Amino acid sequence: MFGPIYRALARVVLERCGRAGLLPTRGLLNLSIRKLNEGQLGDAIEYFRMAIGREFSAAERKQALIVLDFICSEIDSHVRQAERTGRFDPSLARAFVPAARWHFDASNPDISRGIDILRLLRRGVQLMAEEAGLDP
Amino acid sequence: MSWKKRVARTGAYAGLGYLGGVLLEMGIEHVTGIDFAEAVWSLAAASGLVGAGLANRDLIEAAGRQIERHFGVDPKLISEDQWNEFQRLYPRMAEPLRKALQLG
Repeated sequence: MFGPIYRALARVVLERCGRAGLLPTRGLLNLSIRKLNEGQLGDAIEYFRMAIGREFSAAERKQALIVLDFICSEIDSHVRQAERTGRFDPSLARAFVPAARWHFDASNPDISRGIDILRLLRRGVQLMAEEAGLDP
Repeated sequence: MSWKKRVARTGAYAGLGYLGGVLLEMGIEHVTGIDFAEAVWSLAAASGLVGAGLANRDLIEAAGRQIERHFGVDPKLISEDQWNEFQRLYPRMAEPLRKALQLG
């Protein structure tokens, strides 16, 4: 009966710790993947940024490269889906500031600007990783 | 294996894609009714890969979801060519799936 409540509570505590930078690097990288699964690309990138701002061990470096691959693929898959279906995943708009959300709205027939923004975002993530010494 | 089972399995292979076929081959009998990530995870757990930390459940789920968005079909239904393309584009993301399914 209390299982789901404890799990929800644990998640809230985990996220608070993550945001406060109290989690180890691997914890932050795991949270980044979990956020991708929840459709929260913006949070996933934020946790990734926090993780790669630290010193890496060899294992953490490998995991960070895997997460980088996942984030880039997530962005690419949104582009592919928009090109194939003519619209974006409705959850995607949450990753952007309010001024840019219109480009990802399901009722916007012009997806080209949204695709440009996604490609810029992908480039930005790659540059951030390269600056942190992660060479894809 | 009896001829009836063999015919049934061949029919199922024909209707499924590459990864679905692999799941079936590895002993997941009712591939069409179950969640892809769940199936791959249970195989990884059965083969002891989970303990070794090679197959993270979240990674498998994310990879499956992205295959679906890339190709517009359930990950079980992608063809071998699509799987090879996915591996070429995102080798690190394909790795947990490859290890869990013991592919190449």
